[in-house]
Amino acid sequence: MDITRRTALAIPAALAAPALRAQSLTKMRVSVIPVLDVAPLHAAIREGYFAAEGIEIDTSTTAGGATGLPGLVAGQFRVVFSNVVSIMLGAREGLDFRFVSGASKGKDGPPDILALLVRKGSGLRTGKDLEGKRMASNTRNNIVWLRGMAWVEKTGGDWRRVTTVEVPFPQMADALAGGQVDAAIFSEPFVAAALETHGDRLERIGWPISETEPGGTNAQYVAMADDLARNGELFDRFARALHKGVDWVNEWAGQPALLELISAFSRVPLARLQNTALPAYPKGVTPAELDTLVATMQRYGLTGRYPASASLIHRTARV
Amino acid sequence: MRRPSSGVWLVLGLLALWEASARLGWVDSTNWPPVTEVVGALVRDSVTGELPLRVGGSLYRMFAGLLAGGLAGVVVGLGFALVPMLARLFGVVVELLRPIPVPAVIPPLVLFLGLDDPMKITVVALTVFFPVLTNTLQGVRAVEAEALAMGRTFGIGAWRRAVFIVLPACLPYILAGLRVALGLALVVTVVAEMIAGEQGVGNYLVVMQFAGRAPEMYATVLLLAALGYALNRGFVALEHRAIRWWFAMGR
Amino acid sequence: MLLELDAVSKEFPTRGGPPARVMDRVSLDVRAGEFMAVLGPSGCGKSTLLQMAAGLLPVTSGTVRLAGRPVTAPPPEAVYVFQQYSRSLLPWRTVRDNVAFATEHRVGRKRARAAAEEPLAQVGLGGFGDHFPWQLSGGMQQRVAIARALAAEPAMLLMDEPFSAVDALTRLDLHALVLEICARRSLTVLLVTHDVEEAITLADRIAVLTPRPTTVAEVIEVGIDRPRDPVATRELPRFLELRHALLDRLMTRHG
Repeated sequence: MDITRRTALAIPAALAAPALRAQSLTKMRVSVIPVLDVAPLHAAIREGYFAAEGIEIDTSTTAGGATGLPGLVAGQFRVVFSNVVSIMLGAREGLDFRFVSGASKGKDGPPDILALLVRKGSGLRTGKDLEGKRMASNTRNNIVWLRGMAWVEKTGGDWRRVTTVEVPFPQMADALAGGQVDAAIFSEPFVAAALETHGDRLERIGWPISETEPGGTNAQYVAMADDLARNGELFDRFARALHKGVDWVNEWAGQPALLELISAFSRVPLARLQNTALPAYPKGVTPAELDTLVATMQRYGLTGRYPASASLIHRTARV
Repeated sequence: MRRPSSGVWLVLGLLALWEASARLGWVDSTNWPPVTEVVGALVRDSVTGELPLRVGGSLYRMFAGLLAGGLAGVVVGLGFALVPMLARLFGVVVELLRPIPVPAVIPPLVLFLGLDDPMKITVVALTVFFPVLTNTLQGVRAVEAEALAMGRTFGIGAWRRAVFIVLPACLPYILAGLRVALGLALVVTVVAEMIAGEQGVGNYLVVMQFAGRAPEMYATVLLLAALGYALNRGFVALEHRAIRWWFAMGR
Repeated sequence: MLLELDAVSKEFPTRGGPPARVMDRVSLDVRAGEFMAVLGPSGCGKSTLLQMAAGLLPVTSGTVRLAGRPVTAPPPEAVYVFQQYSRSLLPWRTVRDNVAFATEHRVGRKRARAAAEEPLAQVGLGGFGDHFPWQLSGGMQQRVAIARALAAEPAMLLMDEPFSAVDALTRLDLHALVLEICARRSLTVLLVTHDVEEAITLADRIAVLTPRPTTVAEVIEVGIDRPRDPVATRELPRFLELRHALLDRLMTRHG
């Protein structure tokens, strides 16, 4: 994978900017999760946008993002892709995260990148029905969980009376079909996978983003404040390349080329991606959407004093 | 050709049961693909060169860790045995560190050593260190007093006695420790690769799991089983060559 | 006088109690070229005595001198031959390399290996250099150990019951070998044994030890001419007379 990626990066770079060939590229290590949200980053790598800016991206895939933000603090990564709830929780604890770019958010209407699934014939339809039941989320206290709790409340349930069980996405469909949990909040492409393989037994009862906060923010790229202060110009180039990747993805939206790109980095079979809902790919993040998110977090038990939203947004994410 | 042993038949039987259980829907889940699909995936990604490249990377990290941890285990073991002062100073530290499960030290190691080969090789080396150390200590205790006195009566110095009498006499114990460590090393290499980075069999396993590609996942599992088996067989063969005397004496 | 033991005592610490005195003021002289046997009942500390003479074990009090110099570490002139030949031979080395082990730290591996052939031939193992010790019989293994000792070209051999672990016929063969080698190399030997016949067959003088705490009860001149034949010697009247006297002394029936 490494080798093909580097050659893919080297060839367009050689065509686009021959002058840079001799010059050594600045290496930046970026922590990512193998999800649809990072398509623009991979597009920018493949299309040579980073190379054209004199940057070589070295991605490090971490399952579930467990080492992403701690790795950023420890200096293992320059940039980390993470869900917004985890980022804000870190900021609440005084970690100097700064948003350098938006990554993904919900679309204004269904299909969402998140879905609430139950067993067919279980009779569970609303959050009210889920009280006293077990609901799977990949992690507690992240954006997926937060949207799930919001959906429970929106549909008449008391979120405190729903028991959250942590189940990794790849095991969720089996856990739900097998009766270990009564409901599960899936993220794409696992929604598509679950309905494809367990469609006879599972059904969708909710769209947790568009039914609670249409277009709600989902994930961003962050870096450390002191690194940004010292190397602002490098991050300008990083964001420029990444945002060209966003343009590429938006340009090819709904066409096979985008799905082929996603399939190449995520290894999700192409056929399944055709039934998969994609997020919107924003370039920035606004203080208003962060404020809304923090209010939601406060509402569902993630209380505390959060830094002013505007102070967390680096200039590259103010677009 | 030799007739296949009953063990081979058992493996074939289990594989047939696997195939049937998936094909006939006894176990109905995408996470349980038939073995033929798994083998297909194995062949496909072997032909593209991806799996061999990844296996090569994993083996490199494993053997680097095995070498580093093994050498450290032998040197520290000999040091403890030959210089009792060292054992008194560091023995307690070693005993305290030994029961810590290695996956538990991966997060702190990441902070110090990053996510690349240095961290992964260190994790493997730590795994290998303790069984080799314990076995080396046991081996030194088993060295014949007569052999050591023989060295002294010919006026052979302490260093030379350590290298030419103690070390060879311990070798069977050291190799037994390494054989245990070899199995652990493969496991830990894959676990470390699953945590972070883009290399190796462990990362492949995670990526395929997140991509929902069960055949590729099981292909990795089968490959690791075969690899572990082959490594052990290879090691035993080497062991028999290296310490022929030990087996000849029926120890 | 090659080896002198002057009022040598040995005590071992015991758990909680006063130290155990196993040897009490033993004095013994071995002349150059002489074969002396130390004869004593089992457990009387014969090996302890020999190990102190070899510099392998420190004395508690008294002095050991070899060629006039006090012995505090194994001296180059004396080589110890162990009772348990199978434990003192290195099983990962061939017979030749075991013999070379005695000298390779001084002359280098190559010369030591070349020099190993002569002592091997002398103990009758000319063709066995490439064998491993564990491929040989017990008697042959003890021959390897003797060849290894000879390779160091010592003035003196300190032999600790070297023939006690082999069968009776093999023992006679080894007696013949030792008699021949000692004559040819004019070696000084201090041999520890509990075998009365072995002591008479091989030795010029026999030191008889008492039970613990060990002292020297008496030193007896053997007085049988050399060269000796291990079989014929056993029929001489002097042999029978000594055998009777020594067994009488060593056996416990007199109390």
